[in-house]
Amino acid sequence: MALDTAHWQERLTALAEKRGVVGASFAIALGDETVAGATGVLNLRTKAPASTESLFQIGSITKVWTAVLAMQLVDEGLVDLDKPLVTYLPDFTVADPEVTSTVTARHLLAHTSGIDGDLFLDTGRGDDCLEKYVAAMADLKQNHPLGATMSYCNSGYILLGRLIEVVRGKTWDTVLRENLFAPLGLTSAGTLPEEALLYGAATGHVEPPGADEPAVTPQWGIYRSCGPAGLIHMTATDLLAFARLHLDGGVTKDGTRILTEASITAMQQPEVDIPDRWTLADQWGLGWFLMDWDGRKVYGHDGATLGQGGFLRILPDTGLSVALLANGGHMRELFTDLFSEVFSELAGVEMPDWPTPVDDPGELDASAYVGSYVREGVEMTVEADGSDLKATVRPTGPLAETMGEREPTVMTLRRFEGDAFVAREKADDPWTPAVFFSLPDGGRYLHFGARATPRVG
Amino acid sequence: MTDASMSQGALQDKVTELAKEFDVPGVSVGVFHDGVEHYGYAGVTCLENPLPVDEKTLFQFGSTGKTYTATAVMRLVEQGKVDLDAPVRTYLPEFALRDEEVAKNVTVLQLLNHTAGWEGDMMDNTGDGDDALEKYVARMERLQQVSPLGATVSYNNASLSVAGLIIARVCGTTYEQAIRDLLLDPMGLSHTFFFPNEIMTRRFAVGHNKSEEDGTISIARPWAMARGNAPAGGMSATARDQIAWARFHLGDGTADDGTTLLSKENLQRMQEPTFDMAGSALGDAVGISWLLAQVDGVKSVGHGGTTNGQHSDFTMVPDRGFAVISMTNCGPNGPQFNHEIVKWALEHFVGLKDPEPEPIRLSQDELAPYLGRFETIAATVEITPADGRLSAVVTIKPEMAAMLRESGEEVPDEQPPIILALLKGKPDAYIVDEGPAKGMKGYFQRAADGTVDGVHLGGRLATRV
Repeated sequence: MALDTAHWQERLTALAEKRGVVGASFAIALGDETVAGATGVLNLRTKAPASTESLFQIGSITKVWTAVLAMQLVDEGLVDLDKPLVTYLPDFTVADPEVTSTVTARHLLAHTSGIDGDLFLDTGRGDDCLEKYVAAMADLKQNHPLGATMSYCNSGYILLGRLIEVVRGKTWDTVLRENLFAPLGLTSAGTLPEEALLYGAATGHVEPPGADEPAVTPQWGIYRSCGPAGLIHMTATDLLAFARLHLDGGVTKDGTRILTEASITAMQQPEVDIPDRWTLADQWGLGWFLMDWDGRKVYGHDGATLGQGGFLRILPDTGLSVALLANGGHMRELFTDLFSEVFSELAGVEMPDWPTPVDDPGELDASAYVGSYVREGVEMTVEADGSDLKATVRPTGPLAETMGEREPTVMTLRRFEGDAFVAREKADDPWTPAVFFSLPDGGRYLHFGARATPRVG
Repeated sequence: MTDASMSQGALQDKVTELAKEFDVPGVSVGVFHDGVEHYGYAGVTCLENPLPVDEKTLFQFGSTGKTYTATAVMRLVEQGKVDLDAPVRTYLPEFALRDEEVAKNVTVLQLLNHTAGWEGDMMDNTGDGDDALEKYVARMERLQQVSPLGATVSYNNASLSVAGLIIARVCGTTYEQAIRDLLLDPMGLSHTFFFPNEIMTRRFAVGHNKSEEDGTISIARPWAMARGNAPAGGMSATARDQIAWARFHLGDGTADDGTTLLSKENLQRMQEPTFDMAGSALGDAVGISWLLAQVDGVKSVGHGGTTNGQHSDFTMVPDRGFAVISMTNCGPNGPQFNHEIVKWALEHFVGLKDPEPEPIRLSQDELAPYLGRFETIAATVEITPADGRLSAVVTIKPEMAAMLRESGEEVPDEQPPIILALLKGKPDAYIVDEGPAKGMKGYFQRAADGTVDGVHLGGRLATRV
C-alpha cells in the first residue's frame, strides 16, 4: 500500500489545529516506505515554523533507548538482568535495605522495583550528574514491595543510566551517541541543549494557571540528571529508525547488528500487568509498554516533558510504526485522533476507546477508597463526594518548586467499572483513568498517571 | 521629523548597507546618544533555520563579559568583601601556578587588567558542572609566565576565570548566579543569559564561519566555549541589554530603578588607565577590564568579543555620553562590519573621526630587528620580510589544535600569512595591511638592551624564541 504524503500532512494539519497543538512533527513507516509531515511553529515567541527536520524532545521515549543500551550490556555478558544491581554498583542504596541488596536491572526496566520514581533533582550539568543523583536515591522509599506490581519509575531509569556509565566507563550521553545514534545514522539527535540549539529545535509550551493560551516554558529542558529517563531530542523520522531496529530484529538498515534477536524479543515480552490498563497499555516489557489493539499486538512508549509530548507505536505484524512529537496544546487528543486514523486506514486496527463513565453511576460505598495516598512528588487526598469521589492532588518536592506556586488540583472521580474510575478536573476536561487495587498483602493502592500510590491513612 | 528619528533611519540604512557589503548573515546594532537609544538590525539568526534578527534577538557577546566580571568584583570591593590590591590567595588559598612567586603575589587588580603575565589562553574543558570553574582554575597550576608579573599587558582569558572564582567563593554560589544576583537582576537585564537551556526558548543568533576559500558560510560548531571560561565571556544578550550595560557605565552607578549599585567614583575608576599598552590591538591602555583608546583625541572606553562564529564590538565615549554596540553572527567578516559601523556611528552621531594610520615600507635593514620566531602558549609566529612589509605566519601548536578539534572546532592546518606594515611616525607600531584582519593594530616590544624581544599580535604577547 502506498503511503499518501499529502493526505497525512493534511490530516496532521487539520487535527493539530482542532486540538490547539502549537507545533508537531509526524512520521509513518510501513515496510520500506516512510512519510513525514510537520505543522505549526517551534516557538510561539519566535514563530519559527516546524519542519520534518525539527528537533523535539521525545521525553520518556528516551527510556526505551536506555533500555536498549542496557540490553547491549546483557548481550555482551557484562550485566545479568537478574543479578542484584549492587553487583555492578556496590555503593547503590535506597531506604529499604532488602530492596537495596536484591533489586535487579529487570525490575528497573519493567518499572516493578517499587522505588519512588519521581525524585526530580538537579545535580548540575556536570558529567557527574548521574553519580550524584544515584547517591541521592539513598533516601527513596518504596511505593510498593519489590516486584509486587508496576509503578512508573523515573529514578529507576536514571539508575540504569548510571549502570551503563559505570560498566562502559563513559557518560550515558556518549554511550548513547556511539552505540545507537551513530549506527542508526542519526546526525542531529542529541541530549544536551547546547547541541540542540544549533538546529531548529522546538520549545515546549504549557498553559499557565488561568490562561487559555499555551506559553513558552521558561527553560527548554529539565535537569541533566534526568537524562536516561527523558532527555533525548530528535526528529520524528529518527524515532522511526529506532522502531525499525526493533522490527528488523536488532539489525540496522545497513545490516549491522547492534542488539541480539533474543534481546529484541525479550524487550517485547510482558513482565508485569499494569493495574490501570486504560491509560497507557496492558503490560510492561523491558522498556516497551505492550498492548492489545483489536486483537493485535502493539508496543510503544509515550513521552511528556516540559511542554512537549511524544508518542511512538509499533504494529509488528504489519511492519507499521508511527511517531508523533509535539510542543504544547492538547497533544494526547491529537495522538488519539491521528493514530486512530492511521491504524484503521493502514492496518485495519481499531484503537480501543478511552473509558467514559456510565450515565448513572449508582450508589458508591466510598469507604473502600477514601484516605490519603502519598509518594515522592505528590500527595492525593480522596474523599466521598455524593455518588463520586473527590481527589485533591498536591505536587511536592523540587519539581513542584520549579513549576512555581500552584493551587492543588481538585478532581472528580467517577466509577466506570469495578474499582476503576475516571477522573477530571473541570467539566469540559477529558476523563483520565484512576484505578484502585489491592496487593495480596492487603495494601490498598491508587493507580493514577501510571503510578501506584499507596494509601497511608 | 525629529533629529532622533532621522538618526534612527540613518542607522538602520547604514546597518542594512554594511551587512550586505560584508555578507554577514545577521547583525544587531545599538546606539545611545543624547539620552536616546537607536537600533538597527539586518539579516537572519541562522542560515539553516532563519528568523529575522529583531530587537529581541540574543547574540553571544563574548569577551565584553569580562567587564561584567570586573563590575561584579567592584561591587564586592565596595561592599568591603574584596580588596583589589590583595593577593588572589586571600580569597583562593589553593591558587597555584608554575611560578610559585607569581601565584603568591598576583593581585585581584592584575587579574582584571591583563598584567598577570601567564599564558592566558588555556582552553581546557572542565565540563559543565557547578565545579567547572574551580576545576579550570586548579588546572592553571601548569601555566608558565610569558612575561613577568605586572610587566606588560598580554590578553589573559584565564585570569578572568580566577576573578570569576573569587566572586563565586566570596558570594557562596556559582559565578553565573552571582552575576545574576549582583548585576543582571538589580539592573533589570532580563534578556542577558548564560545557559543554552534559557537562551533557546527565545530568538537567538547562531554563529557562522565564512570560508576564505570559496566564500561559503556555514554554522560554527560547537555552540560556545566551556563553562570554566564563562567569566572571560560566556553570555548572550539583546542589543537593548547591551545598551543598558553601556548606559550604566556612562551613568552614576544607579540602576534604572534608582538603586545605587556602584559609586560613581568606582565606576570611573574602572575607566582610568591602570596600565599602558600604547599601540596594541586592544587600545592604548587598560582600565579595570575596560580597554581604553583615543578616537579623534577623545577618550573611548570599550571592549568587544569573539566566540565561535559570533563577533561583537562595544564602544563608549563617556565625555559625550555616547555608546555604540554591534553584534554579528559570522566571522571573519563580522569584525569588519563592526569596525565600519562603529567608525560610521562615531562620525555620524558625535562627529569623531580618527585619522587613517599611514602604513610605510621599510628597507631590508630596517626590517631586520623585527624578524624571527615568536611564540605564545597556543601558537608560534614566524616573521619574515615581505616586500618592505612583514609577513607573520601563525601556526597553532599541535597540542592546542588537538584540544580545539576535540571540542569540535575546525582548526586549519595552515593559516594564510598576515601582512604587517610599520607605521609612519610610530616606531615599532604596525597595522595589518591586508586580509580579513586588515586595520588591526599591534606593536613590537623591546627588551632593556633595545632588542626586539616580543610582538603584540591580536592583543597577545608572543615572545622571541
